[in-house]
Amino acid sequence: MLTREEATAILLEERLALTAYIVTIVRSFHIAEDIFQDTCVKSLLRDELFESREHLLKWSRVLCRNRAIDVIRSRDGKYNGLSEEALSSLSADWPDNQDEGLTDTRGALMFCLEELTANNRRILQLRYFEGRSGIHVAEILGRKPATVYQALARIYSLLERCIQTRLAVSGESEYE
Amino acid sequence: MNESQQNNPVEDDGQLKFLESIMRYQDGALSPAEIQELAEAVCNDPAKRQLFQQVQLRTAAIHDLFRMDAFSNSGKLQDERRDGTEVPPPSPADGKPSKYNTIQDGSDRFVSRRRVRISIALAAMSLLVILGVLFRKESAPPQIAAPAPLAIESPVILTGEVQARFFDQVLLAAGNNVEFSRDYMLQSGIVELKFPSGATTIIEAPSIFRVASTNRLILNTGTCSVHAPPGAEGFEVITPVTKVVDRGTRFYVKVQDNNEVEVHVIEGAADLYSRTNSANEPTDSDKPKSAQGEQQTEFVKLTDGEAARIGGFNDQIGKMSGFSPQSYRFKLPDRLVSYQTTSSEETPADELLSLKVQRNGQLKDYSVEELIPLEVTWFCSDPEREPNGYMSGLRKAPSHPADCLEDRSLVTGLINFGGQPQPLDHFSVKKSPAGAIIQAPPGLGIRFRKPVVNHAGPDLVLLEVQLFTNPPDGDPFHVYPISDRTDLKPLTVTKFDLTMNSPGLRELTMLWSHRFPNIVESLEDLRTSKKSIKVDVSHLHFRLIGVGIDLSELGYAEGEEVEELFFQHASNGESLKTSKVDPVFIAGLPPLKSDD
Repeated sequence: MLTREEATAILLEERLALTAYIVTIVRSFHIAEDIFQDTCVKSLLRDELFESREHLLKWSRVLCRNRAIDVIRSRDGKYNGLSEEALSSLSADWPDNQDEGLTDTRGALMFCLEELTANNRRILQLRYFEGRSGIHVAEILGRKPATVYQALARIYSLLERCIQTRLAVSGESEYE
Repeated sequence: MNESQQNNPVEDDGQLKFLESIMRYQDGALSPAEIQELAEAVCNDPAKRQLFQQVQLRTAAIHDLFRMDAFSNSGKLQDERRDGTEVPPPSPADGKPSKYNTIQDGSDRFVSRRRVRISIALAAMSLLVILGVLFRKESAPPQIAAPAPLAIESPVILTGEVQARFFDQVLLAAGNNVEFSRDYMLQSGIVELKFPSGATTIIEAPSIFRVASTNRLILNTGTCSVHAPPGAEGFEVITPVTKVVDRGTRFYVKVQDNNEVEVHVIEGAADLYSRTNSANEPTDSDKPKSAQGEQQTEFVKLTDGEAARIGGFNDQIGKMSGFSPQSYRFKLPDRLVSYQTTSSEETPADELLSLKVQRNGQLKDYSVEELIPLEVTWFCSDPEREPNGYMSGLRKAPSHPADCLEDRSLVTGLINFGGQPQPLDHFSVKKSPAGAIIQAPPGLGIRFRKPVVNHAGPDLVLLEVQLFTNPPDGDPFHVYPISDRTDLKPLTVTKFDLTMNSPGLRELTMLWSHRFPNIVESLEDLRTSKKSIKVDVSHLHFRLIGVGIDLSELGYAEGEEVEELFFQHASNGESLKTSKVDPVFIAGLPPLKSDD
């Protein structure tokens, strides 16, 4: 059984992974963070203790999923996202901090973001930090929306390759 | 990565196309057919599913890093101002309120906007840190440091509570007014609220609720039983996905852990609305619906014996589900509600004056003179010496130790008698021809001066002294019938009605513990031992907690008379530091009258 203290620590550790899962449904980081907080409070108020880390995370993902759908329905009147089956499929093996080594990856990502061209970094900033739509980013940059989505896909690909290289290099240096 | 690296073709077209569709999905730019295609790919292709998951994780991390970068002001990732261009605000089409409207100085627009977001993010993170800290210090959690809204007392009254404990240490006692627009996080126990219209709600932990208006309760999570008598029709319970409007009825709402909402109508009718647009967000006002812009065209009318479920992937309007009336709580449970002592707030509690008890659903006040006193018939400690003594009271030992429990004083008691964690399988006592106990297990025997009649709710009460380091719910104990009847059974009390977290507890400031060098096997041992040490424990801030005991739980039938009972502690006896029950007052309640 997890103590409440342990459950809280796990949820905080898994903040990013859970937020990423919620964003899959709500497609807004700010709403996702609100839902994550709700989930934390509900887990703390829960009468029964969680049996394990897996139990807690599974419970949290179900709660986050349903809450996220409800929020979207309240806001938009209907939910137009991935199907229940797809969300369940994603949830079943959603990576967590332990699986993914998100902490290590974070350092590599930071490095790789700095390595991007100013233009590519700006696209990411407008899209993911300022929360502007692809259409709006296209307007700002004077491009077509399709070009922005293609650029985002390419930037992601570049970043991923950079991250993997970076992790491989740092992994090798650890054993030197 | 230099520019030439970045311009290299990096992936095959198929993967780039899939990545592009994820980017468009994130933006809400996919058509329903394209979403369906993406969903199928996620379901059927493990590689694509993994890629989707990874993209989501990376974008969340990118968002996080940009935010942290902005907060730290390192500016490493912030390029938008280096080239001197101004970025226009998000268009209204984004569906988000623009914060630019309130900022006059154009040069500060972006920075101000960023600060707002960073502040929100930091507030969110701070809350989480505080939540973590709270549970590290569960025994004495600090107040949540979230900015408190201006407290506005509502006319809604907390009419009763049972072992209610709030997460942020709010202390609400019966009779207190509840604040408007405050999120109450009920961690354990039950509370009853009465609204000015006459509607009552019984909310059970764990729940988060808020009184939004004189006729509206917001239930974010948890369970709530509502009764709206004639005149209180229209009372509303708002949940994250529904609004339930009372039409003169009793109904039960449960906001589940998974955020689904169940509504069960026990009597009458209730209208169940889906809250499907932002205009229906709960508001803390009593304005007419039209003034709030609500557009509630779709609703389900539930009548008695019907139930519906809504939320998650359930139907938006509400899916009829199995009716389950058992969960509805008609009233707060019968219990010991409070006690009055002779002392004032500033001076130590001394003698009991009266008790308030809920029996058969009705609140009863009993003066101490009305209670049925007892005589102590047996006292025997555990086989190991008890370091905390067997008597509490004043410094001077009484000539007749049984007086410690037979009097009205709340500082004198017979404490730390014997027992074991589990009740005995075969409990029996041996009596003399005169009826006195001559052989019995470790424990405490009592006989009421006149028989106690078993009625609905508590029939006797036990008050004990408790330290803040002892179990806050009270020391567990067993109660046995003294009888050869096989239909009777022992009862183990594990949670008191008035616990260390209850409001209105009295502190006992003049308290001595009488500690003995040897074990005590009888009342006579207590009386004759001359070697006890008297230790002043007044500085330990003992408080008086209590519990009502229903004789029905021992197997007695309604109306049966009970003369004798036997008590044992139920603490884990392996450690000398275990806390055994310390009664300072036990008494029977008078029989209920026929009109009760």
